[in-house]
Amino acid sequence: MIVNLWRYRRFIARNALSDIRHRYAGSAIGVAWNVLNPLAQILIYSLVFSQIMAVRVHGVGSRTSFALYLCAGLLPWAAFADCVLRGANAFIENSTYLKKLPIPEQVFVAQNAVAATLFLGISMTLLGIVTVITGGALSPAWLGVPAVLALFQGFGFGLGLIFSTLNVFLRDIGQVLTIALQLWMWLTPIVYVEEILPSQFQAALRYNPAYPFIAALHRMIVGGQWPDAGHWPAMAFWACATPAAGYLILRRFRTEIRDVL
Amino acid sequence: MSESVISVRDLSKRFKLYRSPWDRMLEWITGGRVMRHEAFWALQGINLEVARGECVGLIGVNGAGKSTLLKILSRALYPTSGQFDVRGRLVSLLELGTGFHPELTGRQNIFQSARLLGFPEQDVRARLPAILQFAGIGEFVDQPVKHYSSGMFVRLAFSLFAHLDPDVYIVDEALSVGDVFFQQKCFERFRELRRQGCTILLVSHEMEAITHLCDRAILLHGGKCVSEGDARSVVHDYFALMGQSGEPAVTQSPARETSVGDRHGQPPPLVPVAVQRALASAPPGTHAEKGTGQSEIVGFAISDSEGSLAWTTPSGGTLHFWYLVQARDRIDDLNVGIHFYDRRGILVFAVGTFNRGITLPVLAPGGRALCVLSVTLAVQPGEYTLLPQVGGLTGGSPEPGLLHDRLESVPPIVVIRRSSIGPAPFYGLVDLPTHVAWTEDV
Repeated sequence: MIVNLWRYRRFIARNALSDIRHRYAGSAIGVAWNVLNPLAQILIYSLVFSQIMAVRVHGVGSRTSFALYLCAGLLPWAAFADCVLRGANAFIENSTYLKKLPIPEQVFVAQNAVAATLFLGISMTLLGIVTVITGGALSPAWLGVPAVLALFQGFGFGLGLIFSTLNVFLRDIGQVLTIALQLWMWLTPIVYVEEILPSQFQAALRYNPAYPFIAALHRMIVGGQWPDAGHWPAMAFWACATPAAGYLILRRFRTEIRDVL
Repeated sequence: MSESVISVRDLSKRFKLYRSPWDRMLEWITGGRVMRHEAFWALQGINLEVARGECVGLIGVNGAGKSTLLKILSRALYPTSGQFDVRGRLVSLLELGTGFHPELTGRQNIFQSARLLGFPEQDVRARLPAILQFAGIGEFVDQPVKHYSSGMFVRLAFSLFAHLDPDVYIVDEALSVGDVFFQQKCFERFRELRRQGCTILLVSHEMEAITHLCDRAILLHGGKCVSEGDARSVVHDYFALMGQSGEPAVTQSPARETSVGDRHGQPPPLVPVAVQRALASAPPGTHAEKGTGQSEIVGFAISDSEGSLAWTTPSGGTLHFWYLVQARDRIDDLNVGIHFYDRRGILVFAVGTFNRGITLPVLAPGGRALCVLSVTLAVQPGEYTLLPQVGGLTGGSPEPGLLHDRLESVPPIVVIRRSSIGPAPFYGLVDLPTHVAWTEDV
């Protein structure tokens, strides 16, 4: 799988770039929306949660801390969900290519993941800049953020790959996923802090595969601390296991995918 | 036989058809113990060897499995069983423009597509001028392809593919691209590629192209190879299959000319042996339902000037259409005629004995007559369908309006190019008599 992805790296990169570039095709300032959109989102959260609804994160005193907390979880989650959802539709969307060209299937899932990751990179850079401008400090723990994001996106790519194959055969999966991901987001402490959960729910969080990623991001970005040592193996596991599982499923059904499309 | 470039051994492809996605789930869950699919064999036991530099035609009615075979060879589909091997790089015109991204310019797309097909960038860079010149789309090459007309799009795609110099080409119905001049360029390019030793697998419904370009042909029907060999004979089998005429493949018999008597004492036409034999069996095609049946075509055959049965002629050549007519009632105004339609369904030419002021003898009830129409097919190369018919006058009208009998679904005839050297002798539907006079004294 990796060999094929490497062989098609230029195709993937070019398509991911053109995806980013043409996401806002037809608008006057086009590419700039890739920056303006997340920027607006970050600024709105900052304004709302620091001035209007001043919520404070437990243990961190700053006025902007909840906005930062929210962005630290929400922006990566959006990219992750994008990876899964668009990944799941990748084969169907690109059926014209798959039906006629001998391109390895996983290339199309990877292409979406790369585009989502690029967009995430822009968003997180903006978040860093806004944090500094609004008077926050970037702790050294920020250095760990790209690694965690990469693992999170790897996890998203893996899930996308798993569902992309299944979705070809049972197209309802795409619909179910949209709902499931929303539910999953609310089961993960992204828009709320985990301390508000009843204790039995807090205990259940460790069965949520997305929790280590979000918790690690919160610790690094909001708390300025390195992630829990125990979270690294969990993150690495999901980032490796799901693409592997996706690949095994793909290999099993590869011959039938192109017949069905 | 020289080195084979494509070899296919006992290749089969099965599609599983499920009535609903749940049936598929059920099969998976039960590990195949419950079978809910219907198997559809698109290809069964195909064997094929294509040597380097050969041009092989692949023909068959829609759904015969041609595209499936091509897709397997270009690795866009996986076979169910059997092996295949393609030595060297393969480019398939199935993919014509599919790798093109609408937002990229023509030039960027050329590189992107070549990359997709695994051709090194410097190769393409070197050939870029030739590609652009061939496509002839001028300034548009630096515009996003979404602004292209569909003609320009295909021309660019075709130009790119025609200049990649792969070892094997798969061409699927791509020859009908662009206007006549571009088509000529395409044909010329194909001949050039063949001279360079490129192997070509050509799929077309234009039998003229198959007989003209291919050394060999293969006829697929219902996923099986039913005929293989010399392009002309395979094309003949194809028409036989299409018209379901059950017409035996007639081998060229020596044209011993004999005469058959006509009971009305007309000068008897010389009927070649092959034609006599063909007239003795039921005519090809089906009888039209709306004929009155006052007279009937009981035998029909086509021959060339040598007296062999024929279904093809070079443009400008003559074919003889033989009718054996049997009268039910007394017929005193028999009109024997024929219609020719091109593949777009345009009536190219229709003629009957009335048109030419010929009065045929009166037929008594049960009487028979043999009539031959010799038509010079000065028309553009291509496939023509025929409607041989017999009829009579309707009261008062000068035009023959009464249809006695007509043969439908007769296997078409094919007019082929006169020669592959030099320009086409004319463009357009028909070759009109043209005389040229000139002088330098002006």
